[in-house]
Amino acid sequence: MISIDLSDPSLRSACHQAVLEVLETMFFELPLDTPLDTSTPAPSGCCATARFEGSITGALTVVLTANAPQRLAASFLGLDDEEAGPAEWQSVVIELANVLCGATMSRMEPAGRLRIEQPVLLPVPPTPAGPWLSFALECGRLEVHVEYGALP
Amino acid sequence: MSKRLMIVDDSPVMRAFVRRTIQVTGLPTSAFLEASNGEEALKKLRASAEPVDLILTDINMPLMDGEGFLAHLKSDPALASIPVVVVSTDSTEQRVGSLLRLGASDYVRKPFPPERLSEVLCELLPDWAAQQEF
Repeated sequence: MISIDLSDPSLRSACHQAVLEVLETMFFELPLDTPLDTSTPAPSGCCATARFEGSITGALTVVLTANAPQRLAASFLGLDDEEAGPAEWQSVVIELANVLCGATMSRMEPAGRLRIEQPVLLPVPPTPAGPWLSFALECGRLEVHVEYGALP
Repeated sequence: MSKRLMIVDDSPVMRAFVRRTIQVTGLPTSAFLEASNGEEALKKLRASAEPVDLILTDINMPLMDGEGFLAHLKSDPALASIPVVVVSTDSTEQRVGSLLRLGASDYVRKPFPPERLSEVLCELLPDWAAQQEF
């Protein structure tokens, strides 16, 4: 079993395309710039991880920093920013992890069989090995980490 | 004529997102029934005094998932004719093929733009499409 992360060009491209598609179609947002590579995520933020298993097994983790949780929750639910509270931020970051995981992994394994588990909130961003992709938004940052195991 | 729709998803925010997306498409809707899993959906459908015109369902849900829900629905003569659109992140070819064989009318992969959902709904309910308001 070998471990694949965002240092792999095909996974990086799949994740980048998935982030653009998800932000544009479901959150009506686009990143301000090309993503940065970082070795660790922001030390605090609204964080959720989605584990998947099947023909490949791994996890995708997202971190939203600054005002990004509030802004994205409001966009997703059609609310004004001040109407979206912590409960909405948390539910929406869980959905973001779920949809982003599906959109990324279906690009990597279109003919595979994957089951995405219900994403879970994490109290603090984890620091797994491997790079993160960090996208600047008007309201904060979206940071993504993906890692999975595959047969060589 | 306005339609009655059911949205089946264990995520309340995703149900709200789908509901809002349908409202944005301008298709007149008289009621949205909601359920958080297949079991709850079947109970609500059987208890409903008025028929539901179309169901949108997720796949991965607790208690009864989308595949189980489809199988029960399509084996119930009173409910089998209701068109079902699967809305899910799980878009692998094998899963989509399996859902269509179980009787799903169409499949919408998350993420989706409002136009994609509108296109599918209008195709399944053409009389509804004629009344689309913008």
